[in-house]
Amino acid sequence: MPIFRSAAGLDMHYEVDDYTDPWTAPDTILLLHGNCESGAAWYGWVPMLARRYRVVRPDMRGHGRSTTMARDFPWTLDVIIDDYIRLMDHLGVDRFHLVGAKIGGTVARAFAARRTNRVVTLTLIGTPPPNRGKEATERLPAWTKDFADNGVEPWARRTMAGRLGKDFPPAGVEWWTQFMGRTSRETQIGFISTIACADITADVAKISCPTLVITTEESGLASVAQNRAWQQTIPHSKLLVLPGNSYHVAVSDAEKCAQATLDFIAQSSHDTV
Amino acid sequence: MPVLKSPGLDMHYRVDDCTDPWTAPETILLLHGCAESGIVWYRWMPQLVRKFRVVRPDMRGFGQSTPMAADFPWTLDTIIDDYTRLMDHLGIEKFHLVSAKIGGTIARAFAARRPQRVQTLTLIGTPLARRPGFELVPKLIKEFETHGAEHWARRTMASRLGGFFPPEGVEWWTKFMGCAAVSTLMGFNKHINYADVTPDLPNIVCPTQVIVTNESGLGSVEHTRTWQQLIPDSTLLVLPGNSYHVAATHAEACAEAVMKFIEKKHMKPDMRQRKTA
Repeated sequence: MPIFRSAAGLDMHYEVDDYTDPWTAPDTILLLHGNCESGAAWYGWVPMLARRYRVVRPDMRGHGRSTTMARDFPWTLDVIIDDYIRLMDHLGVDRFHLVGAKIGGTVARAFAARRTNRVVTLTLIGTPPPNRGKEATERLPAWTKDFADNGVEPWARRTMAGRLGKDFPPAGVEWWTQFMGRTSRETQIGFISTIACADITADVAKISCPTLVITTEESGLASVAQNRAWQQTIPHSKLLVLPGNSYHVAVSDAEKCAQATLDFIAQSSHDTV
Repeated sequence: MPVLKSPGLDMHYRVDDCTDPWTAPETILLLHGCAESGIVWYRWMPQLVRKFRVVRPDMRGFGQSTPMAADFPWTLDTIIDDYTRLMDHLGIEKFHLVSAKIGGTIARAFAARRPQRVQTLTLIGTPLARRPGFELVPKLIKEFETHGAEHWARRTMASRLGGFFPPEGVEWWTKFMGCAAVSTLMGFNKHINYADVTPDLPNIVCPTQVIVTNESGLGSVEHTRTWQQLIPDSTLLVLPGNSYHVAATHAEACAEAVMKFIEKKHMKPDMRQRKTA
């Protein structure tokens, strides 16, 4: 797994999967994972994407094998976006397709709005509304105390059913619980109170690239109507609703989401030619 | 790209694994041919990696692994030991062996000499067990020395990739194989390319699949069948075409055949026991 010395205090780990014909110049897809995950979360996507695209899947600052962050690290969306921009500069990739799941979709919306010259298309999967409201921020003190007292795994275990839905195999639920549970509590305490509840309403209005939003009929993150409300403020956007009650639909329905993303990117490229 | 270090050899390899992380997938080890590296399997990956952990090393002397001196004392056992050491390092006891071109010569010896490690064997576009043409080696070595590897790769590429490969792909393959170290090629041609693996064939006890094209320049279907039938539990799959690097030209069809073959052999273990008993 390559490492990129991205900025002071950050070793960013990432994978590049590329099964394209080596004499072609494929487009690149950048995959942004969510809170308490890493690039490993995209296992179901890579076989479908990598024959046609170069696929870059970094571990976000603080997550996976990238450097953990101190509890008082001054997290901002721009810091995370700059990390990813530096990685793509390092790889010599000017423009790319951006795909974000869960909080990765929050980062991705700000990314597409603030770096319009870099992002060709945007796909958002099982991502929260742009403003999660008082309900989320009011829970922050209790969450922070829970992470400080018990680490990340109890929270991951308690919330996994909503994330992966009713049809995910039990062994998979256990793996995901331990995978997310390994996240540094220091990273998590800083991240949850800043990025996970960031208000990106102003960004959503500035997204100009073709955008696909994917959710499930019964997602616990937001109703279909709530998703449609913000999705429709993005000019060139469409909403795909899959059956089910998972909100981490990028994992529970990986193949369906990957296929929809491929179709969407192909259609968008066709439209802009 | 990870590296396994041993005396005189830094072996580079890739592990691709997109299986559900809570499962314990079986492993496929992919052996490339002369003047290639692990990257030649790019078209195979999408089909294999969701179901198997896939290990694809760069053979000693090739790709990013250490080049060998012209007088390196190549033997099949040296190469087999390299791969065995890698699998030990990765903690993999048993694996499915899939090989192309001269990788299939190594793989036949590998399966015969390490029967406890190899679960199934697939040989794709591989030379005859006793390959004709050894008398041409001095001429080949002279060509490498005088004109470099690319000259040889370009001259021979048409029969390797056949009549239906895109021209820009042929050019890429020519330059890619043309990057091979001349010192490696000199020793490898002399000692490995024409190694006779006929005595190994009856000792291959695992289920074996041989894949060839009906007009391969490496040997007719009949000639291929002659050695294939010396492997006790083996089948022959003939694909239409005139390429002999069928793992590159018919990648998807070959990968699908491998998946089906492994699944079939694993779904009926009792039948397999009866057959090999």
